[in-house]
Amino acid sequence: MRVGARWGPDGCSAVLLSGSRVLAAARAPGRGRAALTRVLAEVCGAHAAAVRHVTFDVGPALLAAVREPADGPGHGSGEGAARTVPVVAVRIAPRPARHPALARHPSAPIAGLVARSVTLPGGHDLLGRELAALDEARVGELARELAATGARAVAVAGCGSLAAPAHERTVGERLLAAVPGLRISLSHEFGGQDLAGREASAVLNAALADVAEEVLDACEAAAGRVVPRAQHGVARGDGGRTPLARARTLPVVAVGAAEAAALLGAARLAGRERCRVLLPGPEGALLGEVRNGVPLVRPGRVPGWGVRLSVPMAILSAKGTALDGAGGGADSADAGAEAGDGDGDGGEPPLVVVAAGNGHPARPAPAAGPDAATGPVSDAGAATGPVSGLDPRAGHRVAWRDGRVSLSPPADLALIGTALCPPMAWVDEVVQVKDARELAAVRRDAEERTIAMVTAQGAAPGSARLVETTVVALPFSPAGTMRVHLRAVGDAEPWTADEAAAPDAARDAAPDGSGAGDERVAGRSGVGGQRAREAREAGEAGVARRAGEGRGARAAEGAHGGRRPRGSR
Amino acid sequence: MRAHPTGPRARLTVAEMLTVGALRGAEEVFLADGGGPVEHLVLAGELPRLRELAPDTVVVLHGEAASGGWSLASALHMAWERHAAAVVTPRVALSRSAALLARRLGITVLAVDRDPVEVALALAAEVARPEAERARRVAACAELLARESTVRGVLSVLNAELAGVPVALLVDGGLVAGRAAALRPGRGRTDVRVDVPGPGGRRWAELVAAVPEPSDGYAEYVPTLLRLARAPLLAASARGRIETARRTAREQAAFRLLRESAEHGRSVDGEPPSAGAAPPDREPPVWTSELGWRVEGVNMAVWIADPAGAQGSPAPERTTMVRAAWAERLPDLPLVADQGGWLSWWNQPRGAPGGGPPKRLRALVGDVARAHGAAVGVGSPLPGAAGLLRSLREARLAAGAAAADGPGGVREFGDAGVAAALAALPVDRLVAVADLVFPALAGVRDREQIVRTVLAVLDHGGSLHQAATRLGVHRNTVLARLKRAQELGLAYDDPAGRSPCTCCATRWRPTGRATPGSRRRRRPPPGRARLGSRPASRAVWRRGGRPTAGVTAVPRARPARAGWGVSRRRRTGAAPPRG
Amino acid sequence: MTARGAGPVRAIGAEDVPTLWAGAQFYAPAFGEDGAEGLREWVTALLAEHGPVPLVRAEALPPDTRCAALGLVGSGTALAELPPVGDEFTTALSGIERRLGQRVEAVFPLAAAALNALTPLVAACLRGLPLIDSDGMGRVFPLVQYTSLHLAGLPVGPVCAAGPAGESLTVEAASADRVETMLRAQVHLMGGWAATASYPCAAAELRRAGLHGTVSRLLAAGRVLLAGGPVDRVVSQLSAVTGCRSVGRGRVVEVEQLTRPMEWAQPAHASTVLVAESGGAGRLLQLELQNDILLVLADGALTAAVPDVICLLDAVRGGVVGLDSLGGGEVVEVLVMPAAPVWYSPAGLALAGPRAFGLPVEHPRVAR
Repeated sequence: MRVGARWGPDGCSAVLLSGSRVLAAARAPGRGRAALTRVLAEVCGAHAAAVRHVTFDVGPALLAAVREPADGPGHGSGEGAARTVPVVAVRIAPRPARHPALARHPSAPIAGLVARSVTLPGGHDLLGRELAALDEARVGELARELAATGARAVAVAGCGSLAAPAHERTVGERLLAAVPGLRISLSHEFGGQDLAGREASAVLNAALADVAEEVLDACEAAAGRVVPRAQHGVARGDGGRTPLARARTLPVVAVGAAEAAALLGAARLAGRERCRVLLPGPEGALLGEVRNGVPLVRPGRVPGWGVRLSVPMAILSAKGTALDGAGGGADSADAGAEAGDGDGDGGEPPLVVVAAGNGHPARPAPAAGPDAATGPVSDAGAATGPVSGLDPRAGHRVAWRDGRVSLSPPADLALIGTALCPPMAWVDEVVQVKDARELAAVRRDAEERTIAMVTAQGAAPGSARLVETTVVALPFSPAGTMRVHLRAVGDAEPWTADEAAAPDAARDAAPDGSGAGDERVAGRSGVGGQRAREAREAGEAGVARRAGEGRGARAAEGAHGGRRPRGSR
Repeated sequence: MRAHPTGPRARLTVAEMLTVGALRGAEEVFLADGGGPVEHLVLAGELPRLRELAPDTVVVLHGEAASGGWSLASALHMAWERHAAAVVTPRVALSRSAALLARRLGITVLAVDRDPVEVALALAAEVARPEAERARRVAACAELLARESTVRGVLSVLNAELAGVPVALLVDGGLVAGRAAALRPGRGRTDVRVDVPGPGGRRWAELVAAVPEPSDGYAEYVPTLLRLARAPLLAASARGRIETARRTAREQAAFRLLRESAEHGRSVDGEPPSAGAAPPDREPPVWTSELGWRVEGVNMAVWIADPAGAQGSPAPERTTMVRAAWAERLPDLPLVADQGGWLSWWNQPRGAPGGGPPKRLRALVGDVARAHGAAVGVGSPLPGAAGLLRSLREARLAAGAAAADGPGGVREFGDAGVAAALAALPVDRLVAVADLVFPALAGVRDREQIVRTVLAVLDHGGSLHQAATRLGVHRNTVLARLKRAQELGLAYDDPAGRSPCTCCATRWRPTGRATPGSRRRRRPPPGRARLGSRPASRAVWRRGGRPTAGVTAVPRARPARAGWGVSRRRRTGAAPPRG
Repeated sequence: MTARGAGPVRAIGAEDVPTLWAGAQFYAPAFGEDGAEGLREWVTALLAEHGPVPLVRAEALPPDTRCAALGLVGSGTALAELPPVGDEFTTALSGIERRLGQRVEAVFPLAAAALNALTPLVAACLRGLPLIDSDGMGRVFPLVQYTSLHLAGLPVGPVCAAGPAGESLTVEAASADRVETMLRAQVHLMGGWAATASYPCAAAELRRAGLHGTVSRLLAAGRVLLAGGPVDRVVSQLSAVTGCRSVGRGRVVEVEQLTRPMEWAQPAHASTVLVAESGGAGRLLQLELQNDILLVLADGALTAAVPDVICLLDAVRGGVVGLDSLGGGEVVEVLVMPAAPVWYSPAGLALAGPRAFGLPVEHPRVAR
C-alpha cells in the first residue's frame, strides 16, 4: 500500500492507495509535524503496518516560503516559520556582465532571492572546452569575503559546466573549506542546457535550504511515527520520486510536483499509458499529456509561478490558446470539446477529462477547522464510493466514448499521483559524433547511465526501463552536434502482483458496479465473480471506511480480524 | 534499356524475378503485387530520369538518385505515379521513412546488397527476353545436375537454382531428400509434381516443388527443371546400388548411426527429439536421402541368419552374393550386413492400411534365404527407429527358431513364440555341455533313438501310450528305451532335471548342424537346396537299424555314411524325408 | 499588443520585443520559444533605458549613409550557455569602423529572423543609431554569404566578430566563401557564438540589393501569434499576413539522424522528420532538416524546398516548434511561405537553392 501526502498552503492532506485503488483519504488543517502526523494516522488507520511507501509533495510548502517571504512569523501551526535564505549567486564566466540586465537573473522572482551577485573568471564552452582559466586568487578572495560576511547559501553556476564541471567543483570546495556549514548548490547537478535555467535552479535550491530542512524533518518525523517501516520519498516536479534523504540536498526538484502528479494520477485511474489529460485549473482548463506512463515534462516554467527552471516540469498549456496565460476561461466541458477536435484519428491519444470534483485542488477545500472528524468522512465517502466508469480493478465498465472519458477522481488527483509516482532519472546532454556508429555508442552509454541513475533513486534493480529517448540535431552548431535526452523510470519495489497497476489490462466491459453497499456485500460474501483478493480489498475498504469514521470505530476491526492483509501490499 | 513485350504465356513477373530470376536474394522491403508484369528496365542515376518511365518498369536506383532517404522518397513517388512494377535500391539508401512510404503508397521496393549497376545488367537480359533467359538458366542447371552423382547433390542443385521454391524427393510418399517445406506449401503456393521413373520403367519416386502463386512465368520453368533432374536422380540411386562394396560400408555406418540415435533417444543432429513435429524444413537424415531407407512409420524387421554361423560380420563374398540375389528380387527393401547375418525391413507409413508385407514379398524373402541355406526371422511391426531395433531383436530370435526348420526356414516372431526363446540359446555350447553332462549318452550308438523317445514322452507330458503312438512303436519299447535313458543319466522324470534335460535333448535333435566331435555329420553345402522347395523338414539320420515307424520311408541308408547317403538320395531326386 | 496598431512602424520600443520575438520565431523555426530569454530581457531593458529605436526605410535615408549588417553568428544553444556580457555588438561595430576608417551611421539585421531580429537593436540602442527595415536574407540561412547583397555583388567583408570571452577578430578574404569558412571556424572556437558586423555598404546599395520591409513584417506576424486562439484561426490569419499556406497537420512519428551524407563545412548535420498526416489524405510528410527545414515531401512528392520558409506550429499549444526540441508524438502543422523573389532567380537558387544544400532536386516553383 502506498500513501501520498501533501503539505499544502491550507493544511495537510493524504490518501491511501492499494494498487491504484483509493482506500482512504484524509485532510487536516494546519501545517507542520503535528498536522502531518494526524493526517497520516487517520488515513493509514489500521493498515499502517502494510504501507510500503510514503511520498510527500512538499512543493507547495517550499514555494509558499519563496513567494511570501514577508509574511509574519508562523502560519498557524506554531512551527517556526523558516525563511528563504539570502543567496550569493556566483557565476563563472569569462567576463563579468557589463549591463545590469545581464548581470542579474532574467527572472524576477529568482533575482529577488539573490542577495549578492559575483562573477568569477573561468568557464567553458558548450562542448567543454575551456575559455578562460579559473582565477584562483579571486576564488580565495571571495571565500574570505563570505566567511567575513557570514553568508549561508551560495549558488554556483558556471558556463559550460554540464560538459566540464571542474570549475564549479573547485569553487565549491574552496568556499566550503573557507566557510564550514555553507549551503552550496552547484548548477551542474541540475542538468539542463541553459545557464539561466540552471542558475535559477541553483539559486532556488540554495534559498530553500532551511525551509526544506524544516519541512522534510517534519515529514520524516510524521512518517516515522505512523509508518516507521515504509520508505519515505518526495515527489518531484518531473513526475518522479526521490528518496527523502536525497531530497534534502536537492529540494528544488520537489517544486511543482503537484501538476505532474495530477497527470500521472489521472492516467493511472483511467488505466492508460498514453493519453492527454484535461485538468480543471483556476483560470480554465489545462491540457497535459502522459506518454509511456509518465507525464510529459520539459525544462520549463514552474506551473503557477512562471519561473523557468532547468529541471523538467510538466508541460501544461491552456487549451486553445497560442501562448500561456491568455486562456479563454472555458470550463471543462467546452475545453473538452475543443480538445476533442482532432480526436478520432487512429494515432491520437485518448483524452481524459477530469471533472472538477471535491477532491481537486482547483476548488477550495471544504471548511477546514473543527471538522477533523467529519472531513475524512466526506472524503472517505468519495474515496471509497464507486467511481463512475473507472478503476478496472473494481470491475466497473470504463466508459470510453469517441476516445474520451470523463474522470471524477475519488480523491485529490495530485495526491493519488504523488502516491504512485515512480523513481525516475533523466539525462540531457550535448554530444558531438562523427558518424552513426559513434552516435549509437554514445546513446548506449547514456542509456546505461540513466538506468544506473534511476536505480540510485530507489528503483528495484532490473525494473528500470527507458520511457523517453530523444536525439535532436542542434541547429547552427558544428556538424555532428546533437542533444541527447533520455528518461528512465523504475519500480519502487520488487514487483508484486498486488502493486502492479496493469494499466492497459482489464479494460473489458464488466458488469456494472453499483453503490458502495453492494461493494460491501460483495466483499463480505465473496460473490460476484471477484477474485479472493479483490473481495478482501473490498472488505478492507469497509474496514478503512469505518476506521476513518472516528477513532472509536477501530474496535470494529476486531470483527474483521480475519480480513487483515497478510504479507506485503 | 527497353525490350519489346513478349508473348502473354511467357510474361515475366516480379514474383518470378524474386523467386527464380536475377533478383534472388533481394530483401523485400514491401511487396505489393508479385503478379504484376515486368516489361522494361530502367537504371536511374538521377531523379529527372524517372520522369519518363513507362508503366510496368523495374527501376534500379543508383548514384544520386539513391543518395539518401529523401531521394528514395522522391523516387518512390515518381515510380508510383507512373505505375512502375518495382523499385530496386541499394540497401544503404534505405531508411525507415522509405519503408513506411512504400507501404503507404503500395509500391514494391526491393533492397539489394550488390552494386545496383551489376544488378541492372543481370536484370537486363531477363527483362528483355525472358524466354531466352529461362532457357539459358535451364541449360546451366542441366549442366550442374549432370555433375551430381548423389541424390542429395541433385536436390541441393535444384534447391539452389530455385531458391524461393523448396523441392523435395518423395519415395512412396515418404520424404527421402530435399526440403520438407515443399510438402507443406502454405498459403499462396501450389504443388508441382513430377514423377521419376525407376529402373523398370515404373514410377519410383516423385519430385515435389511448392511454387508461389501466381506463377505464370515459372509454370513451365519449374517442371522443366524437375524433369531435367530425373535422369541424374536415377543414375545417382542406381549408382549407389551398384557399388556394393562401398555401399556395404556405408550401410553399416548408417545403421550404426541409426541404432545410436534410436537407443539414446537423440535425433540425428544430436539434439533431443522435439516434442512436436520436426522443424518443417529439416533435411531427412543421411540414411534416408543417400540409401533410400525409410525408418519413420511402422517397421517390420527381417533377419537373415548367416548359415556359416559366424558371430561377426558375414564374409564379404557371401554378402555380395546375398545382395545380388536380393537386388534381383527385392530391390526396394534395404539390406544391411550386421553381426551374424543380414538385416532388412519393410516400412509402411503410420496409419496406412494393410497388415504387413504382401505374401509375394514374404515368398521372395524365403526364396533368397533358402538359396543360401539361411534361416529367416521376421519381427513384429513396430513404429520408428526404436521400433525397428526392437523388431530386429525379435527377428533374430525368430530366425533362431527358424533354424530348426532347416535351411530356408522363415518364421515370424508371433508364430515362433516360445520356441524363439529356445532359439536364443547358443547351440554349440549347449551341445558341448550336454556332452559333458551326459557323458554316457554321448558315446551310445542309439543315442538318437533314445533321445527321440525321451522327447516324445516329454512332449506328451509323460504319457507313454501317446508317445508310443507317435513314434510308431510298442509301449514296451518306449518303456525299455526310457529305462535305458535313465541308466544313461537322462533323468527325464526328475522334476528338477526335466527342463535342462528337455533343453539338451531338444538341442540334440538332429537339425543338420554339425556337433563338435562328430565327424559323421556334415551340413549340406549351400546352394544344394532346391529353389522353390518347401522348408526343409527335419532330416532324420539313423545309425544302423531300421527307421522307426512314423518316419516316412527313408531310403535304405548306406552304413556309416548317412549324410552322404542322404545327399545322394537327394541328388537322385527322391522326395525329401519328412519327420 | 503594441499601441501602434496596424499603422506603419516607426520605432521599436521595449513593449514590442515580445511581438518581434514571436514573429522572428515564425520565420526561423530553429529555436523554440524558450531560447534567448536572457537576450530578450536585455534588449527590453536597453530599450527601456535608451528609448525606442527608430525603424527607417532604406529609401528614406540619404544614399551615402554608411550602413553595416549586424548579426549573431553561431548557435542559440551556445548563447544560452554563454550569455552575452553586453559589449559584444558594440565591439564588433567599432572593429569594423576602425577597419574601414569610417563611422557607421545605420545598422540593419543580417537576417531578420530568429535571434538576429533582436541583436541589431542592441548596438542601435547603445550607439543611438537607427535600424533599417531591410535585411540580407529574409529568413535564416546557415552561412553568411547567403544574402541578397552577395547576389547583387556586394562584398561581405571585412567582417568583425566579437565573442563573449572578450576575443575579437576581423576577417578579410578574397571570396565570400572563404570569409564564411574562416569566420565559422573562429566562431566555433570563441565559444560557439559571436556578434558580427559585416556587409559595410552605402544606403543606396542597400536599397538596390537588400530585402525590404522584413523587420516590420516580423511585427505583423508576431501580432497574430500573440493574439492566439484556435490554431486554425491563427493559421488563416498568418496566411493573410505573411502569405503562408498549410501543407498538412499530423503527428511526428519518426526523427532520424544522419540521413544524408555529412558535410563538415556546413553547420549541423542532416536529419529527417516524418510526420503522419492526420485526417485529410493521411499522407506521409517527410521533412529534411539541417539547421532549418529544407525540404517537404508529401508521400515522396516534392512540395516545398529551400528557399521557401518552412515552419512548424505546435497544433496543440499554438507556438512555433523549435527544431532543437522536436520529439516524437508532437502534433504539428507544417506551414510554407515563399521567400523573397530574388531567391528564385537562377543565381539565387544556385546560391541558396536545394542544390547548395546537397539536395539535387529542382525547386518545385521553378519546375512548375
